[in-house]
Amino acid sequence: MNETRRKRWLAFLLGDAPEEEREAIQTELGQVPEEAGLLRHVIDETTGWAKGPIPYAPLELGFLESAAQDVAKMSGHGTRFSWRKWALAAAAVALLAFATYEAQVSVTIGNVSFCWGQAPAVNDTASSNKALSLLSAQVYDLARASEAAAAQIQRLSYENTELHRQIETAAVRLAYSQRADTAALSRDIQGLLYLAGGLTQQNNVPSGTQ
Amino acid sequence: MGCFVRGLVVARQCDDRELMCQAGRNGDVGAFTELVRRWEHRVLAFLTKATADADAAKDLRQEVFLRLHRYRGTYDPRYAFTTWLFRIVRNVLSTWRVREERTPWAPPVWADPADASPGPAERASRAETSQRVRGAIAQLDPCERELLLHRFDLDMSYREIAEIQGAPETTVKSRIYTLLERLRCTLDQAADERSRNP
Repeated sequence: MNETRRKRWLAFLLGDAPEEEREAIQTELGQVPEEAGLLRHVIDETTGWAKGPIPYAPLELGFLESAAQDVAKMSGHGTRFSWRKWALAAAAVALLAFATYEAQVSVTIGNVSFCWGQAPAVNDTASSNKALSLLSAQVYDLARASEAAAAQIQRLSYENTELHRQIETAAVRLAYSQRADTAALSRDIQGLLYLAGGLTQQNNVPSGTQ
Repeated sequence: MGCFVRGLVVARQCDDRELMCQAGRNGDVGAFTELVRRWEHRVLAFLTKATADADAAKDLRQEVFLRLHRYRGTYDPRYAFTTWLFRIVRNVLSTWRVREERTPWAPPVWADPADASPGPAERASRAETSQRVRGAIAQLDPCERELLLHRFDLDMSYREIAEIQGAPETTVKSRIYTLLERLRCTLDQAADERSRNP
């Protein structure tokens, strides 16, 4: 028996056959009742096996809550905030601050000493004044040097400007001079040409001379 | 408590896709509980027949719903809920198969389907062929049993099965027909034996 034909019959028995082929397939099946019976039996048994009942066993959902907590713990989210721990830490800090205030504990850094509740105090005033004087003198010297440098820069700038002006003047003079030389040269050339033209006329019996 | 009960009542009026959306988007516990109530037994039946191990099936069912709960936010409502659920079932079964040795499937001890044949000889013959078919199903690969369960237990369309299996629809159809053909050959052999040994 042709396997392809049997698959067509199976498609029909399972309700998968196209509408236009159903009548033809039904006729074919009618001609092979034993084969059709076998196929129907296979489908029925398979369906019976698939839909066969099993004992009921309800699912407890408690595992979901514990699983959600496990996930939260692993990801670090959802952990309960420990108020007690933070409250204890805050109390310890407050106690330490109060104790240092009452004990007047002071800390010295260089010449300056710090004490809780008091302004910072300078221990050695004489050496501090001397250092300040030196510092102010240095600042004054730097200011004067800065003024001198500024004046020098201004003078140099003026000289630079003056030089530029002189260069421009020289250039203009040169240009004029060159133009004048060119004009003179041009006149000389014209004269020479004129003279050259006159001599030529003399050789060729110029008009008006006889 | 009243809100939970009201939520449950509303949940029972919604279809699976809506319930999954509510469970995923809003973390609606009532919606998820209703989904579990609807599908817990069918998933257990599927897993029991696919694995042939009732205890393993219960563990796997728990794993399935745990994954359903964990990944509820990733549900895409464009796909049917059954497709998504049984894709999870398929993945869980795949993991189980890799972990465990494959044991031969033994038909469970529940009642054979009642038949209306008149005589005892006919009934005996039917019982024999029934056992033969079920024995042949036992010899199938778990993936093949899974395919038959999708079609004959869950009554899924070939398109849905194809989405779950990740294969073309024509391939799924062809595989199912081939499986039925193999089961038919078993009955054919039995019929030949009966004719030789009357």
